[in-house]
Amino acid sequence: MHATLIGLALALAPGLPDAPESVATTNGVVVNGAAAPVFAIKATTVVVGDGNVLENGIVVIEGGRIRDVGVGLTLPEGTNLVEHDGVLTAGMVAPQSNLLPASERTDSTRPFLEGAELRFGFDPQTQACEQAAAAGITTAVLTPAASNVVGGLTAVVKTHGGKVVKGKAHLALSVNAAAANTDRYPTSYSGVIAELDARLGEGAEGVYAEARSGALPVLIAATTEADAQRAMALAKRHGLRGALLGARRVGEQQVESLRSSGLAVVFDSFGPGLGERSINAMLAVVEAGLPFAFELTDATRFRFDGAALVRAGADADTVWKAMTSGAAAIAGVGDRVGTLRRGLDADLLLWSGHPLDLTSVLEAVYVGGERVHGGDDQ
Amino acid sequence: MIVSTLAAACAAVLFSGPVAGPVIGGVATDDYINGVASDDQETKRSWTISADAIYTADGSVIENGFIRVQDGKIVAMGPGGPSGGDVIRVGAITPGLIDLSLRVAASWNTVEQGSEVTANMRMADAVDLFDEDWQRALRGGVTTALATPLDRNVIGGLGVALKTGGEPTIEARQVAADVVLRGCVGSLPSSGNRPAFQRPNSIFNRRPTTRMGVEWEARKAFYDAMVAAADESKSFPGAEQLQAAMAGELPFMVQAATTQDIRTTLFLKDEFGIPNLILDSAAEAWKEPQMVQRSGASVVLPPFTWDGRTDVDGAAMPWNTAAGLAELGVTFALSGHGSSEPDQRLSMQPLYAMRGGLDFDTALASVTRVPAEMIGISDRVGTLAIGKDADLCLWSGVPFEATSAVVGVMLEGDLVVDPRD
Repeated sequence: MHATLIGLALALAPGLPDAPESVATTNGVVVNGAAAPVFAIKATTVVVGDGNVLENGIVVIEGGRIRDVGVGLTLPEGTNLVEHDGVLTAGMVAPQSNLLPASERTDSTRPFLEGAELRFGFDPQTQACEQAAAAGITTAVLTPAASNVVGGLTAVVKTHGGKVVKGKAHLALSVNAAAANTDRYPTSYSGVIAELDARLGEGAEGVYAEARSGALPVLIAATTEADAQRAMALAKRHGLRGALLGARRVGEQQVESLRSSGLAVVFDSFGPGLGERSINAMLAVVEAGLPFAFELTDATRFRFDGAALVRAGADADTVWKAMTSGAAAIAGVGDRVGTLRRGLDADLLLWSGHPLDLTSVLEAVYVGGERVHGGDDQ
Repeated sequence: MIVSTLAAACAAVLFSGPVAGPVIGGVATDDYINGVASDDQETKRSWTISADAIYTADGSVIENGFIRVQDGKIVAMGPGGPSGGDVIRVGAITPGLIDLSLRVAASWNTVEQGSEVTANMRMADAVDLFDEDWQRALRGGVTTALATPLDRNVIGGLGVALKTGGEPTIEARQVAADVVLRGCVGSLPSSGNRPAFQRPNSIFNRRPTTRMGVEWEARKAFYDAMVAAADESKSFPGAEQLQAAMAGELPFMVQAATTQDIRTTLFLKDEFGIPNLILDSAAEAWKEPQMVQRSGASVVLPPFTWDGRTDVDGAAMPWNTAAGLAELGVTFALSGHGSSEPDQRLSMQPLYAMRGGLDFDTALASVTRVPAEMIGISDRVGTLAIGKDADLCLWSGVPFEATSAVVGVMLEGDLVVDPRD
């Protein structure tokens, strides 16, 4: 107890000489003692992400992580406080993305790439990453194109700074028309399913065994209702958990199947011209209380997809939760990002109003406690 | 109007299942009528439908009778019955129609062209339950259909018998999976293939490119399966299904439209001793009917057309084809091929077959009981009897008459098309 208190004092006193290299703070986060930047943000509204909303809440950030969240917190003397007249939320998370360029997401040589790791194609210096971070999408899953039956192992990355939060995060599968490709075996859905059944069935090995045991979640590309039906049946047969990708047409007719499958849905990015059928299908998923999230294709459009659902009648707080903590859970990093909670990464967004009100402006973005976009100089 | 074995119908009269309540002398009591009925159509699980005539498709007709449906099954039926209240009255009731050649949802992605012979590929894994053709079929009176892969492989895989409506999962829809092994001879399995003159650059650089190539591939598949049966080390994916077809455990259903293709298929049947062969789209079975009769194969006819030209390999089929096969005692079913042409619907086919000389009972059986028996699902569908699925086709008048229409459809107790609308 003594030691931790001293540690905290050291951490909060950047001026002290002879500080140890790293010390433990009260919340167990190890930071670089002397250099640990501590600051706090106070906002009119703090959307915690777990359903709670704090009026005049304060988030204390230390060493890139959230040290404390609350109302009326007593800040150590000298703590730099950013006062924000608006809404503070966690960064958005995309469990499906095109952050890898198409040429790096599509390997047409073989239909089964269970050993391939998407993170090796990741280049954080791209415009796509920069735009995503600037738009408030601070975490994304690198997913492959749907043209391979087994597309590889995904990675969860920060869109700014290039940090890989989690490698081998999911096994990416596809059961859609692109996987049943007429240029090579398998050319049919039957072939796709037969091959997946053979790999994921009893006697499964390697990553397939991990997927079968539930240790490794899957992301299954399933575009049409029929794809989704096949994917859900596959998941049920082999006890897979995870999500359907690009499945915004998983219609009203399939809500019960979806519920019993335990799979989440990642809606493919749709834009403003979406038909009533897709909207209704998505609303059915939202209203059934099932887990969902959104695909990242165009960073400037990401928030608009959520807003479009709200405009169609979905509850704004439900949708926002899905875009942050819900998506983080689907991405498999709910213990790192998506919620404003002690110990989680300080990926923060400062908005002028509710983030799903399209007149709201994203005024600043923090990734790992670092301000990467907007805001006044501290 | 044909009324066969009315006595049998009367003898078999009535009996209610456990839920239905007492039925006395063929007339339901008030309790029986009022006890279960619900006004809420969404959740309504019990119905009473009465008709001028009920055609059970097992050879009997119940004049002025009723059918009681509860939880998706037929729980009572017989002459007389209640009227008024929410009893639905129609001209006639037949079993829901069964189409073994609906061709529904047979997209390019249903055929595994990685090889010419893919006997283990399951249409149950590939079928699109959301295809709009299912609704069209259902509303036209077809309640059960066989789905098979697109005919681009010599042996394409395993067909699945599905209800045409209901909850969109295979579990909910399937009557039985893997009910036939689907093959195809004729021009289709070789179309699109081409030889490789230099380095192959496509999976379509392959045999067969001709009818003889198709036959050779089919024969090689069965031969290899025989070898594999004797020597486990020579087994291959699909060998088991080919062996099941040779053992008669799995019907071998082959699309063979022209006389030469029918002959080829019967040659394979003889050579490998395939007991249960179904010739699909066998339009030209009429040209050498004795050959078909001797083989013991059963036949599925394609839809009749005004000019006699059918949609497979340009095979020709005159109006009296069905009547001619019936005369020889060949087992056959009629089919609609899922055509979007209203006059090619399955519900219209018996009319054309009868115009060509077929009797009513055989015509009715050829779209209900016979196709169910051909693929081994007659325990659930194909005839009207207590305990069978409540799949009903409701008619305005005598079925298959030119002036009669399908006015209502019930699928497993759900009134999909309400005749009162």
